[in-house]
Amino acid sequence: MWEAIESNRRRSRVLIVLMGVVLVTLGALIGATVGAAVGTATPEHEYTYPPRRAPVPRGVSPPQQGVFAALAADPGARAGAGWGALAAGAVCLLLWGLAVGRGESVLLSAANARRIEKSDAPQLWNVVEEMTIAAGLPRMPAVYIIDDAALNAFAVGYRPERAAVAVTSGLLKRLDRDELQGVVAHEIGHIRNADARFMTLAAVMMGTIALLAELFLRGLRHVGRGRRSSSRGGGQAAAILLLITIVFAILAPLAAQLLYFSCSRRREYLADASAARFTRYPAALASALEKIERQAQPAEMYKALAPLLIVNPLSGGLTGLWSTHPPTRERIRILRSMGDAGFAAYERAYRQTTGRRACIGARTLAAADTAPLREPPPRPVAEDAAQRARQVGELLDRVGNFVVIGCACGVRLKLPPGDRQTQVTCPRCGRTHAVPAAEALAIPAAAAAAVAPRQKAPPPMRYRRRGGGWESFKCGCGNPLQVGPAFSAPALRCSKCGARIEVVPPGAA
Amino acid sequence: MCPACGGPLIVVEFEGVEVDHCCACHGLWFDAGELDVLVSLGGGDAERLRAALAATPTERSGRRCLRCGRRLQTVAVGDAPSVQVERCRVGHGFWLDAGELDRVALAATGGAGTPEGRAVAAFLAELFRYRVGDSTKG
Repeated sequence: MWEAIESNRRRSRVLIVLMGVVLVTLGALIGATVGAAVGTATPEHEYTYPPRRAPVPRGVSPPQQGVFAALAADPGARAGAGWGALAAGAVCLLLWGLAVGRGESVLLSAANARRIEKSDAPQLWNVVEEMTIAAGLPRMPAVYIIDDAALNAFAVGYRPERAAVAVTSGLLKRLDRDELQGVVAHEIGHIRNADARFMTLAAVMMGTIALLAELFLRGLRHVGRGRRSSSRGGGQAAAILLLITIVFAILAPLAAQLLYFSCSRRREYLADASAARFTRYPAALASALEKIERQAQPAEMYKALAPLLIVNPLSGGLTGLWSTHPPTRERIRILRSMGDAGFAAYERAYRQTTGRRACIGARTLAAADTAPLREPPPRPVAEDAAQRARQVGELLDRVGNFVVIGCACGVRLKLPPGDRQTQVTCPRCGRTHAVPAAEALAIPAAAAAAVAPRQKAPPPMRYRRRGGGWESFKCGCGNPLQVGPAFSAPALRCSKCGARIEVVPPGAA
Repeated sequence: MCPACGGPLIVVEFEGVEVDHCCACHGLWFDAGELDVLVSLGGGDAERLRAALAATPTERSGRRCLRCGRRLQTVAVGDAPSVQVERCRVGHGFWLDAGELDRVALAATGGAGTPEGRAVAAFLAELFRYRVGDSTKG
């Protein structure tokens, strides 16, 4: 069933090799240019050059680069080419190592995603659970939520075991359960198809190429002022080399992106097909995509994450070659015209809609089973959008560790975590509220003194509950804590300082 | 952190609209769209407000956007006397100093002369009644 992934993998390998060639060539070109410049310039100009790497030791003989035959006579350029290529490779490896080791957390924290538990958003959690089972993943991915009104979602994870799915709060507010399921299934499809792994590597290479080109072009601007008078000896060859390098530094990032995007678009179709297979209800994903497409504002902060998201968040008419995602309308039309939920049906719909040939490998199609479409589920209770919005708002407060105080005049005051105020004044009615905090129990001074030297445990605290719902309060150390409706234990421990806090039920003496 | 005075900010939620409020200087931060909702809740014309707030910026402010950290730009809202409102360059929202809110509302709804303007200003003033210097009035 999953040979589609195989075919994608082959394609990806070719792509990675091509990108590697671009990367190394760029490094070599920059190295040669710098080498030539350092070799011919007077010593003081070495200091004006940006310290991208240590000055090239002269006399080292690297493998000769064919392109630079004209400059082969210049030892500085030759040494520079070798060192440049090496440096480019090293930077790429370093970034890749970082991405593999810490990539998920870096991406997630870049998007300001917060991890949630089942109790925070049971519906989302259940949907992820269902789709994990449908996809046959070894482990359920971690679930993250991003506080953003834009509608989007993405999946990360170098290995399926360490995968994570993140959705924005806007998505939770605006989509109903089936649509949410479609979107989650699409993201799980990415994880199942090992897209995140390839995307990480490709993104790192793309990033390295962009970084090197940018450094070089910026450095050029700085050095341009100081070097004008010093071009002497071999100046012409060096100038040609410089020109070639500049052109390449401008073109290389574009070429890398082009390669990258062409591959990521195929993966989107495949993830859509997988989502249809997992949910057996492609119309839900189509309707989610419609809602997402209609969203008013693009989320401009997501530029770096764009290839991972469910729809391309960047505005503008640059579709076609330049987009990471296929046109959303086309995806919707394909999903809507599927006869059943199998891969073969997706393939047929794809050919009909786009007029292009295969998007899923032939072997996959031969092995693929058909799956009947699921009936549109009955909607017993019309889900109230306002209610959903309120629930999501409460979820965000909880996940964001806000201390929430309801004022009698009808407004709710929310204190961000880390806020050290002990009381707040309501801006509407002027009432002053004490920020609920666990109060330290009065311990007789003598007993405290006797105990203190032996154990460093903080003094016991007590929090008196106000009702039976979700309540936020602060530990004595300032760390915000919550208790839910289901909390029944006599005490809890602060997650930060470890102090024990007794929780007194409402109404108890 | 308050962009104006560095004081602590709290979120004040009213009818689903969340406004960041500085406890020290009583300035207000409205995310994009929130001020529209508040003004329409008070019976004002959100379209007109949007148009007023979209005025060409006059200068760069020293304060920074709460969401993106970019410098805010100052725009003059309304005419004679106009209110200096600070706006995020990429549209994350607006910063209003204490007391500016009702004047913005007036400017956006036709001034204190019209019943509509008075209604919106009264609504917003009621919402953020408690400010520095007002505490004696209760």
